[in-house]
Amino acid sequence: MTTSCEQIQQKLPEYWAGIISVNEHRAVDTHLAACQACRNESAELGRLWANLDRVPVEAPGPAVRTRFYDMLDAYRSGADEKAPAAAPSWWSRWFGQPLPVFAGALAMLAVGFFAARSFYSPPVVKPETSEIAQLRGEVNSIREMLQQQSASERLKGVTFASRADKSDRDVVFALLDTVKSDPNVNVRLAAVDAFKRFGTDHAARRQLLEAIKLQESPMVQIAIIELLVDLNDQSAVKALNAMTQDDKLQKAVQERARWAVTELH
Amino acid sequence: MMYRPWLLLAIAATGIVAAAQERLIAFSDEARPRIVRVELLDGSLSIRGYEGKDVKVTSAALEKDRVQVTEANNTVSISGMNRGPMVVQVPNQTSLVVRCVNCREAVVESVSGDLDINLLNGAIRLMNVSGSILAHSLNKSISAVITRLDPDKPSSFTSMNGTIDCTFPADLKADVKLRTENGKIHTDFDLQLEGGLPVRTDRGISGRIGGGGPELQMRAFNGSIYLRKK
Repeated sequence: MTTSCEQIQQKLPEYWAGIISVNEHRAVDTHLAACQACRNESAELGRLWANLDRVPVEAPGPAVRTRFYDMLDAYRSGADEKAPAAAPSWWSRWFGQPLPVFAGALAMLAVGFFAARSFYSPPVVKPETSEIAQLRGEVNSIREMLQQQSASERLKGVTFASRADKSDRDVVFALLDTVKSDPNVNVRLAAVDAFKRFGTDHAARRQLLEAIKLQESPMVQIAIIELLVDLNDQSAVKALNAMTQDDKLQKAVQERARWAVTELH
Repeated sequence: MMYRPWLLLAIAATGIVAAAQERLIAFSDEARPRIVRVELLDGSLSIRGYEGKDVKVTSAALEKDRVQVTEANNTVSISGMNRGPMVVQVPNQTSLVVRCVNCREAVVESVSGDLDINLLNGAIRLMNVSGSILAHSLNKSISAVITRLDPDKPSSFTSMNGTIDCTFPADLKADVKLRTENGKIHTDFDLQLEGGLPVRTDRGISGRIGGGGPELQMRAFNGSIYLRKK
């Protein structure tokens, strides 16, 4: 039991990062369902993940970028003009010195930094509250719904998932599981649709591409191909190109892959 | 003209055999929800709701033991190679799971429940059904007359190479998604987005009917879609 717990806990970071195979994902799920200690560990890590997702990425606004290029252009045209050999002005004398140039650069950097901050107001990072616990509860119920015996209930689970918090990786991977292994075509198709919201997740998108090969339904295969086009996933082009030649796929699927390649180019 | 006596004899013989080809099977718990699961390789299937408590299966394949009928956990399972026609009578309120690879057709009539019907190469015809309906035919069409949608559960009709033709009562309330790649979408319902126009993309249209309700998806690839008002 302890070795198993150790193994599971070693896998948890990958589990939450979403770079784990479906089988392993399922194995972890099964273990978590039975083991309170690992469940706590996982929940802790999950909270960390959720909070990481909420930390805003500091990025300069578009105006800063434009200004930078304006400055660069100004500098370039200035250099091209080839200043006449006349006596250097106070300006060039002053700025020809390394120390003032360095100080100027520093000042510019500071201005740029504060300008970026003023253009980009980061969302407030909320401390962890019962809200997250509630979200966890919702996610668990979505997972449960996706494992119901009745296809109608599972389809309802997909509908719920399509309205879930976008950053919730647990929902993303529950949906992926459904796309890969739900026995009902209608449910799988709906799961592909629901996936659209989570399209920014690169790891998930790669798994979606993998899922095409696991499908026996050409309709679901086509739906995934169309979704990759809708998400403008350039990284899928290579795999899609291979699909146009893959004789194991139906002709309609090959054709759709060909269409997708031209759409993405 | 001289064939006539043979013909009569043949009809009489069919009647006798038919009587022996019927099987009656009860659910173990009448109070709990009922499920009938039909998994056939071929033949044609007709499921009819009736005001009884048991499941009645009629098929020539029963006698030759090509089809098995069992009950466990309030689920009646019918499976095997059918070849010819099969009629299954079920209580009106029954959930269905139907899988049929090479059936020519599956007809479901007057049944209410979670209906999950999936055919590979046959057409699906639903008449006066209600509940949450998930119907899929890969290569043939789906036609359905639905009396009421389950307000708490979604419904979905999908076909790759067939037409999807559904008729609903005029007071339908649903959040609708209609989509086809190589066909047309027809409806005489008013589709609305809350306070605006429905959302139209190059492949489909989605919106609300009757102020919205459960999700109703109709999705084809090489066929047209009809969403009709009764």
